[in-house]
Amino acid sequence: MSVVDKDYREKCWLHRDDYWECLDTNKEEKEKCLKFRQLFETSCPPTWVTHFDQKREYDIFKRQLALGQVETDKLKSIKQQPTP
Amino acid sequence: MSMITNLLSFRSSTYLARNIIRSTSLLTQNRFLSSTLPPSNKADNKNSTLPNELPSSEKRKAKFNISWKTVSVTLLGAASLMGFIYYLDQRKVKNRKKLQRAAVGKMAIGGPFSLITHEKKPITDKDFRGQWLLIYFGFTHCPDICPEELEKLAEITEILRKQKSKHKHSFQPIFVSVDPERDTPELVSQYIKDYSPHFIGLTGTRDQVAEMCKHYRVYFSQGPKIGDDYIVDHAIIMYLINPNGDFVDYYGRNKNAKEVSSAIEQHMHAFKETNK
Repeated sequence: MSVVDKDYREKCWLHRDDYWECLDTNKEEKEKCLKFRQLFETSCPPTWVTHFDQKREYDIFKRQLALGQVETDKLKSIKQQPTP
Repeated sequence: MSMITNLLSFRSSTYLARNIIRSTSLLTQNRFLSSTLPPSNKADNKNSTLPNELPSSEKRKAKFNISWKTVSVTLLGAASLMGFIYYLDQRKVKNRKKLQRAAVGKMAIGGPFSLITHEKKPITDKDFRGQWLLIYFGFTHCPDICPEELEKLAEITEILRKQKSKHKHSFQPIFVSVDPERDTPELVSQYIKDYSPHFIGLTGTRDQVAEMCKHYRVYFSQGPKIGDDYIVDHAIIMYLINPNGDFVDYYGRNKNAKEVSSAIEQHMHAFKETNK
């Protein structure tokens, strides 16, 4: 079975979603989701694991940006200005 | 609209001219009028408002009575004529817009291609003339985006096939691999059958694929390798080609199956209108 099979793909996606759900409920603490991580890594090819990890990081960043929780370089430079 | 303003000024100028001629002829006829009467305009010009009434014999000489009734009738006639011209104008604008949409694809996108199908049959763009094509570029080892877009393409195919009887030309969805090293015809065949039995999958040599991607302005690039595996970064767009082989429109990830299907049907309709 390889990625070209629909069943393989769907299994991979399912385990990926389970892992992500665990991270959601545990505030991104990877130590608490090691079992899910293992299942995810065995169900998907390494390139896909890397791809989905990057996607997750990007999605979280986008969400934080939208909520204004991200400290960008510009914000840092403003904060560093000497206060009167 | 310029037609209307021209018409308006023409009409009003002839109208005023007519009035002036009539009133001056009336004035010259009436010997009893004082010379201090102001030059008339259509609103005031009733025979009954003249200070010295004309005798009935003189009245009968003025054949064209300018009363409120005749003025309102003429204005109504003018308004309805203008309204009709406006309606014709709008229809012309609408038709022009429809033709424009049909011809928007005269951009430098698209061109000849020569590849092999998932059934190992050599094929070129000419073999697809007379059909509407929706082409998606992807690869079988794609993690998430290609499966999503191919599901969408399958849905579009189903929606359009339901309306098949109304269409003059058939609709053909096409998947083209941008990973010719790995995507053999067998692999492509195995991949696309899970989405729709109506898909045609195309693959070929690297040169053949690169040639088609050049014509279609499709960006694709092999990513970093992990072992033997890699992900191909590529443009996520579906290209619509009309039965003449010309590029007409493109659809990105922001449009869902229903939106794309209705857009395609609009193009089909416009194409039918301009190719009667």
